[in-house]
Amino acid sequence: MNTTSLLRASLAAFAAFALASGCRTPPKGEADEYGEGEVLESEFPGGLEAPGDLPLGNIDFSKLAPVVPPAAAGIAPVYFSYNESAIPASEQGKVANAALFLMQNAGVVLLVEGNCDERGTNEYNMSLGEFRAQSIRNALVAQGIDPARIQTVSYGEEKPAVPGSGESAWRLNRRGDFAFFQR
Amino acid sequence: MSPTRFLPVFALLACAAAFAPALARAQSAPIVVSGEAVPKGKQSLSMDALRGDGSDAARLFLQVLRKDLELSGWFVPSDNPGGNVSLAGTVRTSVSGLSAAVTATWMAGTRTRTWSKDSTTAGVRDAAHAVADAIVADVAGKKPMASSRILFVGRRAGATETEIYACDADGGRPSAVTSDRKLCLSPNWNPGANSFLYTTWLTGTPAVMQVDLGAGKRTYVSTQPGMNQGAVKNPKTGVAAIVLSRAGMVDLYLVDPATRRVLDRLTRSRDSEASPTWSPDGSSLAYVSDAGGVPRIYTMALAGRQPRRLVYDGTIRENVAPEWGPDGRIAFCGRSGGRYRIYVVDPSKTPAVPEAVSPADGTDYEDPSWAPDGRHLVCTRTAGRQRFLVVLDTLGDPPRAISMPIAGDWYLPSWSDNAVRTLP
Repeated sequence: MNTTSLLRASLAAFAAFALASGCRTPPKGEADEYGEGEVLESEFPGGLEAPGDLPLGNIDFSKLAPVVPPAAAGIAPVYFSYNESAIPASEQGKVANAALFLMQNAGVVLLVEGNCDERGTNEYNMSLGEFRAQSIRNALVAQGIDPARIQTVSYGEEKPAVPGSGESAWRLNRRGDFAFFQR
Repeated sequence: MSPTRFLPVFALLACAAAFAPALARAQSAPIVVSGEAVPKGKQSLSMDALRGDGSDAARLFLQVLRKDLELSGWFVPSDNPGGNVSLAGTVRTSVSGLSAAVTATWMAGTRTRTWSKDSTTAGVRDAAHAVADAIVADVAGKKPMASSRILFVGRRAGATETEIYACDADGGRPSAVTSDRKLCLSPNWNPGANSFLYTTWLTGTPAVMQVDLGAGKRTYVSTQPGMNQGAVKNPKTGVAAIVLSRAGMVDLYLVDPATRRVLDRLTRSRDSEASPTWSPDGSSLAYVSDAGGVPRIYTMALAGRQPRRLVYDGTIRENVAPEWGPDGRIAFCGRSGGRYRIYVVDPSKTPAVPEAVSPADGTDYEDPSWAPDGRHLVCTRTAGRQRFLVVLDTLGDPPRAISMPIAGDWYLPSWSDNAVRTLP
């Protein structure tokens, strides 16, 4: 990667991060529930690219050996709020730990696994879990990690860390897990 | 990639287990055939003159036929004579297996029609379903569903992986269709019901595969990096709408199933999209987006591509899992009062007013899929920690649970749009 493309990648990464953390449409008030004819911003056809894209690479993790980080690396699941994909301030340190581990181990690649609690339909939770994994990927890229080293996968509500209902289980299931592999 | 091995694991056991309780109920509850006792919109149907020869095959044929006619919602079958419709004829074992000749007489004896059906012993249920469908189509003049089949996700008790399963419209013959021993989700019948799509984690990351029932083989349809979810084929063009995350965002795309090429990208928003479904004419999509802060359903015409919000009922803030039905109505799942219910809405009406079709009973009803009759829906019901399939009637018959012969979770159903001739 030459200097220009590195700069371009970094700019794209920061733009993506800014979009991810700041530009999510805020929930609207009750008034709009009774509105008439609301439409979303027009989705213009033409091409597959869009501003803020951070395309995924194509690493086949099934052929790679898992890497278990030492406890001192502080790798832990990132937890999310209900129906949210933004990384809470309290969880940012975990993302920084993962970024540091990737920087110190150049031959390691990462699969970020997004998960949801059981509430909501299976299909939407699959998308929400992917969005959470992408939020973590974007944050790592914003901290200088090559996007080609990070893939995402969503398990939706299919892989709970803790069985059972209620917030005590749900808060541990709305998470992003880090799975490291040796390339 | 080796072909999928189809596992008709517990089909026979399942028939017995699934039907014994239902039959016991049907026999113990006397049905009075008179003008007053038959609910509005139904016809009493006499089966006393339709006789079996005492064989197991004939008995099964008559049981399945009677249940199918009842489940169609248009008839109240009984062994009492003098119904609005009378069935007569014989069902007997033959050299090939079973031979049935059924004559229906209706409209005060002015209309008569006879169907003859031969089948192998293994095909008795198919033969009964076919005769039931003929009676529903010709006598009631309605779209039938008895020969259609339901695909769904199954997770056996204690398992972490899932498989795709299938059963008859009446819940009979449940069996596993895949043996991936990984996470398998989102089965969607293709138009015509000869094949279906599903997402499998076979290689550790998700990909969409097509299973061809006749050939008994499967092929990859979408293998993009990241998620490959919710793929569903356009009824006219065969192009698949799908949710991908290849661009680093979760968006709705079009993929050519034959070449696996991404043809187009339908959304470019930094929000989550999910659950695409095609209109019957293939010109429009309905899907879920959380662009408005909560997940909601939008419709989009391929020409113009302007997303339009579907539901404006303030009591259903969160609305997801749309499925566009054969008559143009959209079924969906809405969160109201902390629970999920199934609603039906006609998107061509202004305003489009959703009507609840699942009970408010403190349990969750999700993921509706239309029967080919455009009247019934199958959905997932979650009660306590158990998920199982329930058939709902948009005209008011009570919900019917589909019982499975083994313990587990059964969810994400897809009902075929057509008769399924080749058994998975």
